[in-house]
Amino acid sequence: MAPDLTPASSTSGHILAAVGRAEHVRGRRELVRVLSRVVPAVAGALLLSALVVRFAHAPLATFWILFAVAVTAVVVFAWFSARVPAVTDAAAAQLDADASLGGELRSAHWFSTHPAADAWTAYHLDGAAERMEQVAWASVYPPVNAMRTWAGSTALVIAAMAVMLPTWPAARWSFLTGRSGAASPGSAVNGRMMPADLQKQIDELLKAIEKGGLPLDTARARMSDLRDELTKLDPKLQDAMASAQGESQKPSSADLKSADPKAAALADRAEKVAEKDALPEDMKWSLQDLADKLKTTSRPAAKAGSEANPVTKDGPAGEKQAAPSGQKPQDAGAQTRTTRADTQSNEMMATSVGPMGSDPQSGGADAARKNVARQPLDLSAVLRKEAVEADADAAGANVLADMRRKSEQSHSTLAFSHVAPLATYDTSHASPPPPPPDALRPLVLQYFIRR
Amino acid sequence: MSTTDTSVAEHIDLFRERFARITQEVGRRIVGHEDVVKLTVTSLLAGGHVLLEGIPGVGKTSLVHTLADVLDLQFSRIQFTPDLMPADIVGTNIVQEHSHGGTFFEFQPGPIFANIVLADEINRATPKTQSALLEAMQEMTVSVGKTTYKLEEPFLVLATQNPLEMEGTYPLPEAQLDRFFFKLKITYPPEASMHEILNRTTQQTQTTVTRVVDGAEILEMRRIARGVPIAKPVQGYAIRLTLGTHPSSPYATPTIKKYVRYGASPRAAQALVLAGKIHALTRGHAFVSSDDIRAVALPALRHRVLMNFEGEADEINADTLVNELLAEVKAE
Repeated sequence: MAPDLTPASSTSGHILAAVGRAEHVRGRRELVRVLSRVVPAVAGALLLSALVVRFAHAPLATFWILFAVAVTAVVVFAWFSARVPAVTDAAAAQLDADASLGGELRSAHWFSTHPAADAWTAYHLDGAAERMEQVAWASVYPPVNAMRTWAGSTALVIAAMAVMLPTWPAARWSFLTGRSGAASPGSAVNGRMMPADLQKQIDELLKAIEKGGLPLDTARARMSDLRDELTKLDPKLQDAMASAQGESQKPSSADLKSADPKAAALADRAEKVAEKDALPEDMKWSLQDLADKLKTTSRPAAKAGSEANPVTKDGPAGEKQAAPSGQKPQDAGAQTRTTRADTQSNEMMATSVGPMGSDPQSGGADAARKNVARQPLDLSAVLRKEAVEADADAAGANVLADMRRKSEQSHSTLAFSHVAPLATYDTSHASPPPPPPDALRPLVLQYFIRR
Repeated sequence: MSTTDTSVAEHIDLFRERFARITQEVGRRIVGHEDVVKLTVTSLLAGGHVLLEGIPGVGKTSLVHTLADVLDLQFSRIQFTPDLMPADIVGTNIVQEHSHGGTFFEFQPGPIFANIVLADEINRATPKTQSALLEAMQEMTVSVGKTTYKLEEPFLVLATQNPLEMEGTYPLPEAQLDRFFFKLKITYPPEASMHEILNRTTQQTQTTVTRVVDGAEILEMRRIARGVPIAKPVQGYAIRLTLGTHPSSPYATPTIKKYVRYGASPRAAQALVLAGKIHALTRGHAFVSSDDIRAVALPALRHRVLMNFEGEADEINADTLVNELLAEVKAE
């Protein structure tokens, strides 16, 4: 019987299949090993980019583009790596070395792909096939334990996405960057937008005054209410913006685009109504004040800040604010630099918040108030100036405004309907206030005693 | 397992059994030097010749004598001296007288006509005499006058030589060095082996060996060894190792590029593959791996690396270069 010298093709196929499976196991393990190193780095980079995007106020799309690119790159890499290409001799040699097969697998793999019709090759392939069946590739290539890595990477990605959530308190972190959260579009500037119902109320009031069908007392009451509402419109945010505007003098294009056109239109209408001769003087003043507040509300934050800045050269803005009173237009900077008593009194009055604290002739009373609020008061200088003015007994330009402000109180419709009984105090528990510290005594005396 | 597989397995077992029998029998007389014995038998089974190098008294000649005793082969010994002539090795035509009158030339074979030839202290003869072995070692023939005589197989030359730096020696020409399959270095035996050597050689009882394998069986073993398949990548490794000994080769190490003048010839690659096959068979494998090639690389390459002047001046050892090459050239 002639021996069969042709190596069984099934044996070759079996060996090739076994080598392919082993290579698949090895490739998967290698892929997981590489991913367990790459993915945490990518996740960390995503978190870092999210923080950078958030604090640098870059467009949010930047992060999502980076996120998409990173995820796509990892997925594509994993997909390419997971493919099992044709097993090369180098890969077979690697499998052979890892399984400590002494070169049998490598040789058998080569003879499987290059069949030779001799008994030795057939014997070699049979032996290799039997030996490969005994190899537990799962133990040769144990799975990579990367659960902690995956968990950490997931946490990093979740943290990155949490940073990018719209509710992220970026303003809370603004002290880190020295920039206000109001500078970001769509957040604080939008917060200055006047509510729709308030706009409607102002619109109805102006229409009623124009038609003349509204009683003056009712018109005054409603006007006062609306001015209060406008003044109270997000005062904290406006103060924060006023303090931040000292650093960002130039308004950004995004800020300029964020003005409220409806409020501006209402302001124009209020100014036009205020020019009616038929209206009483206090009503005109109230309308003018309402127009000023509407302008302040409609004006972008940065622009308002530039107007409030004493050293600004925004002349036209100051002129526009001073125009309704019929006075000669003057430089806004001069309004705050002057040593005349009227301006100084305006600055002092601007420290109070409310309708009484505003001066329609001061050219941006709210802005001046913010400016004063922003800077520490030099009380000694102010008091000294008041003393000089008292000695000179000079009438300032705001005498008429003071008269108006005082007369406005007489038109108030508020009245007390009930007076609470006087509270009784147990004086036995009262204690005198502590005396001022000796170190501060000269300062207190200097403050309260004019020289 | 098919009939063919059974036949191959039997061949492998037969080879291993005979190989082990030879080495064990040699080991009964030669203490230590197991690797030298195995490599010598490997060379015999590959049809190559062996150059044994070592200082006097370490057992070179004893090894060859023992091998000749173990193998049922014709043995002859040639003591190489400076006045030895080529005719003393290959033989010569001498004048004979016919019984009925007249004379004629008759070839008197030299000691080269044997199965195992011990060329003792081969480097003490002049290069002219050394070259008398070239044809016999490569072609297995001897030409005297106009007649060429074929040597009987198996034919094995076991040459011993003292280190070249010793006085009264002539370095072997490169062409003859290349004809040696292996160059084996015999070093001093360790202390434990020295005890055993003294016990065996200084007492009344002398260790005797028996003949375990004859010429036909050796030829069969040669045939079996040549049947072992070798994958092309493994063969490529042997080729890369051979080429790596050349200073102009991309596989050469910086040291080889600096100190080597000529590298190994294709005979070295043949030696690597053949010896690798035998080494694989001794391990019971029906395939050759890169480990088999690596195991025989040093004795197959060390004598085929010719140093340049700088290498000779710096006394660079060829073993160092080959070991560097083995570490540098990857099997994959």
